[in-house]
Amino acid sequence: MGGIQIGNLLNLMEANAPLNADKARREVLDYLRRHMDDVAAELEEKGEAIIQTSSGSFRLTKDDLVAA
Amino acid sequence: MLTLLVTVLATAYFVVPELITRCVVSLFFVRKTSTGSRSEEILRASFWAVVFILCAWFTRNIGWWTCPPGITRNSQVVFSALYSDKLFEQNPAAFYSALRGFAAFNACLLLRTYTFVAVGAVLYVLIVRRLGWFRAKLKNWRRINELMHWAFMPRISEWHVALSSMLVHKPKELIVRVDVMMKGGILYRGVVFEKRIYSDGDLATLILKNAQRMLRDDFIRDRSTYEEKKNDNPKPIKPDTEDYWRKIPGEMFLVSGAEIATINVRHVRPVGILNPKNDQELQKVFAELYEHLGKHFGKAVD
Repeated sequence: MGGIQIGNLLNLMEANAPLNADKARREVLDYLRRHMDDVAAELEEKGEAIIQTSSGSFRLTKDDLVAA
Repeated sequence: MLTLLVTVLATAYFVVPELITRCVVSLFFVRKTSTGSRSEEILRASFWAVVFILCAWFTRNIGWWTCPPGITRNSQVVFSALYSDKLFEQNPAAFYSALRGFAAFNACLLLRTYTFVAVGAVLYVLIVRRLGWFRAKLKNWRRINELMHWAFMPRISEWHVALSSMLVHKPKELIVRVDVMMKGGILYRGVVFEKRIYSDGDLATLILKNAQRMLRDDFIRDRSTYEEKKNDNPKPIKPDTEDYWRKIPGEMFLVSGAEIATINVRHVRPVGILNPKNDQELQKVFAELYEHLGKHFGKAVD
């Protein structure tokens, strides 16, 4: 792979990063809507809930709910 | 003897600068040994060597150790004597005297060349380490941008580019997540923690953190069942891929490069930086969740 091709690869990475972030946000929203009971139960029991997305896990606490 | 001298000079002027550059660059980056064809590599190495030799040549009379004069005459005497025994035997004293001047000049020129090479290599490293910043600044200068990538990128393994966010603008805002399909059909995913690359630039091992393994057979089975029954009443729930990932215990998960069939790479902003304060949709869902907590457990948050 030549330098210019690597440059194109870097351009692609930078262009996709915001799209991936938006996708992860959508996944968090979808998960919360579909598993609201489970998340509420987990929050009540452990004080936090871990939501898995394709971009990593999102840790939600009771404090986050208050702060929002 | 003449061949030996030419070989020594060619090595000193063209090979050693390349070795010094590689040595300095290797201290900071995982370097790829060879990227192009042999002739392309030689041409590139010669081009850079000539640039530094010219720098040394034009500064040969500057500084505390200037190159001794008379190099043209000394070179003629040395090369002629080495070429012909007859010429050498005519005046050996002149040969040894010229050889001393020739050696002193070359030592002086080589020292300067190597100094320029070392400084150039450090500059190279500094530019590559801030490549994201340079790329952002030169975004609208396409040709200069391409020239910069041509000049600075070939010495770095493409795995290093693909599996790290170091070279992009604002690297600290991105993490690299991968889905790794093994040759045996097992699918793993996780955050790239470290990687090891062979000297030829191929991926040797990949170390993941927060690794997960997908129950791919279960997913495929449930998905085909869903496809068969999706028109039934009541409609079955569509399997969600996220429900089929299982956490792998342990801090690090090491994958052998030889066993990897494909890698899906994503450069993502960590989900943890989602900010509900600036996101009405998230706020709304959080409010619903807050209500849910109060309704189901008799009290809201503490």
